[in-house]
Amino acid sequence: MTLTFTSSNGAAVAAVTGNITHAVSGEFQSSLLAALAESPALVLDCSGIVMLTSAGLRVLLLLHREASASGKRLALASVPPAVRDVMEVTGFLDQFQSHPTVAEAIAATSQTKP
Amino acid sequence: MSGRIDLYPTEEIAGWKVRPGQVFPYGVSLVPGGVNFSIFSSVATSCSLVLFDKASRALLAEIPLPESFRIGDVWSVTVFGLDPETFEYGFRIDGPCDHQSGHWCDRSNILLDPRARAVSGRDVWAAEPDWTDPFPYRGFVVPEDFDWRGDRAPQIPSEDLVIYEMHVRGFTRHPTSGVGHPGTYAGVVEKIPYLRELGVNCVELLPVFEFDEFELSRPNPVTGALNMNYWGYSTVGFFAPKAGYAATGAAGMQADEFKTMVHALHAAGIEVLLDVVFNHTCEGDHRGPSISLRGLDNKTYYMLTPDGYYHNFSGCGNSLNCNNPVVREMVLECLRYWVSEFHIDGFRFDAAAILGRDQSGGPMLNPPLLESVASDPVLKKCKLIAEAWDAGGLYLLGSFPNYGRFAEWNGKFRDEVRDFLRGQSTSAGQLATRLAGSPDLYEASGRGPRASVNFLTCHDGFTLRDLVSYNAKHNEANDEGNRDGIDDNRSWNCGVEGESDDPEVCALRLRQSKNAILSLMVARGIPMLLMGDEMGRTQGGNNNAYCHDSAFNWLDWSLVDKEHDLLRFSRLAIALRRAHPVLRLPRHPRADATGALGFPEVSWHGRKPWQPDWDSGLAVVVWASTDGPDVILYAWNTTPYSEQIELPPAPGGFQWIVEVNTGCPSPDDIHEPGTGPAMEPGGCFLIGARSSIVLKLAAKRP
Repeated sequence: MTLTFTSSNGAAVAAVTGNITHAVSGEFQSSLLAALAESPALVLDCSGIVMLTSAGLRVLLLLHREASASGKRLALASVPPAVRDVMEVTGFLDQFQSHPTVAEAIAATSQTKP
Repeated sequence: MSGRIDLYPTEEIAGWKVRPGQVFPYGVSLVPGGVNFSIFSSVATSCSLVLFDKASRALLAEIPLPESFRIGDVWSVTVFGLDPETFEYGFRIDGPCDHQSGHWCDRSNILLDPRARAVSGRDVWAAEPDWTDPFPYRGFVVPEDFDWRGDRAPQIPSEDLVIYEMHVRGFTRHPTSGVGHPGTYAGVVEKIPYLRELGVNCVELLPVFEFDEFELSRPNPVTGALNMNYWGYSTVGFFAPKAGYAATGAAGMQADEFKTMVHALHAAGIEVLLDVVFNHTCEGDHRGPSISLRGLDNKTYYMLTPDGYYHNFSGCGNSLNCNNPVVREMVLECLRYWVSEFHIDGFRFDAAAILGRDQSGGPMLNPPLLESVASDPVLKKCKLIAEAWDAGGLYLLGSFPNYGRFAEWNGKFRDEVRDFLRGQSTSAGQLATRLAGSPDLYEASGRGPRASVNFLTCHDGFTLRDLVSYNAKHNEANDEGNRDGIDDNRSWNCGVEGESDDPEVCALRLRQSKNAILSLMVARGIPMLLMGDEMGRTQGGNNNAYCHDSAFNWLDWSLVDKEHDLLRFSRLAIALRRAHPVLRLPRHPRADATGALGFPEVSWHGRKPWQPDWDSGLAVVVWASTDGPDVILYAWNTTPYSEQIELPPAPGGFQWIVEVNTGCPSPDDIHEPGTGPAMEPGGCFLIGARSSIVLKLAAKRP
């Protein structure tokens, strides 16, 4: 798993690649929480995610909860179809804001209030 | 500072940091920094925890538990630094091996935790397993936190239920289903709009506890395909949802997918009942495999004969010793788990008479397991339904130990209404008893019609279409010489055995199907439909289709169009039941009670009002609600001749409205409730041969 941070239009963008599993969940969570602390909005570019396990899904959702609790916005972008499908049938997808592209996700997070 | 002071390792075994574990909960649980394991055996002289790497399936570690890790008969250990997503586990138990005395310990074997929350080995349905694997079924942990997001159990009163008995895979596996994930929990979700439109408000799922579809598999002599354990009445893991029914089973996410399905069904107002098999396990008799319970503590978990053989009250080789206090606790814990973790609304207990047997197999008057289930606080709102018999000859219909809680699959309703349907019985009196919610079975105990699950077909036996198309079973494809399956089908083929293109035969079959569905929807009690019966699903006359994973068993969704007529009838017959509270009252109707609009609560008639002929093939009944102005006339003429009946006079200002007449072709066979034609005052009704009608009293139309 790697995380690459950029920023655009006031939103932090984190490009995630590789496998999001229990093994990397601690690092994943702390890095993204740190990014959220510095920015009102965080967009996760999911296009490089290969595998998202049960624990990975939960870390993602916890992050989303943390963001909401602190008045921040979190959005997913470019979720690969296979990952999206797993998220859908396990009931996770509809708990997130998800956008087809990073640009749309940035636009949406900069417009909406939390 | 926070955290527990005992969550640190005390020793190292086989290279792993461990400590004596927490006894509770039994099974596996995640604790901060580690994973806790706890397992019961009253005979083990030693116990090892065996860990495998999930991805490679290679042995990761074997941790022999010191004697100090045992409290009572329970061994427990906490292992630190174990990644919960990447390991699988089992137990190696040493102890006595003396079959005559009932002991089957074998330290060369690795055993599945009976409380495993997920079981690997059969992750993708019918994917060829590694047959050389000596330990094919392995436990693993799944996260149990699921965000139920405002889920609310529908809590539908029993009398208002319309149950749809279905097979998770069979429901959407057929290519015509058009769903994204055929044959899965996710597939069920995609078909919720269909269930809503049909009007059923409860699904009863054939077994979803992990089982092995390859159990006793063999080539089909007719097709060459593999005959499999398709139904799944053979549990491998009681606490694990069937992975092969999950689109995400290969990723180990079956629990989340299952919960998502329940959440979606609840949101649509549909309850979820599980068909559960606690009467036996997949370990078979003395020739069967040792997978879990047999090797852990055979004598505790199974009912044994004095010389150490298995009692076979299930017809499947063994009988779970479910009134043993330890086993009882496991069964109860399992039910609680499915209700608390998966939000299940109730259970149908397969061959439940076994659950009332004592440890030597004798029937008990007050079986502690059933009493515990009936009075358990977590299960308090659950629907509990017993199949009140077993394969050992114990038949408890009407007398199942129920504690005011258990309903029963009413086998008498099935048999006697089938007899009336085929015209074999011309006992309107017998039919009257079944329509009244079977007071002969359920009045004395005070349970009333809520105890009667009324059904004409279920997974076991003919489908409805086959019930009106075959006189005899045709089970050749099961490869048992057509000896399997019951012979007592009480069916009638309408003149031709099997498929026919004779228009008269087809029309009669369609009408008979409508008569059958209507009888379910007007009878007091809880109606149950078998998946596909609403649109004429056939199994080609096979009345024991347990082993076919093929289009033979899968629901063909092209029937939605092909059998549009019957499907429309089914939908409107369910709507009729919903529109008329008098059909759903939770008590047996009484002839001496005053109902609405001057009618008694129930009155029987014949060709002339108030003159029933109990020994005829013509039944005419009027039900009048005691709670409101709801009066229904139902008549069923099962003779091959038309019968003219004189209608009981409608009171002033009212008239009889036709709701149903199966003697008419669609769309005049059934109307949207309250929209049918009105009868002339003082009129007669000519009921066609083998036809049934429903009229309702309504204020005269201006």
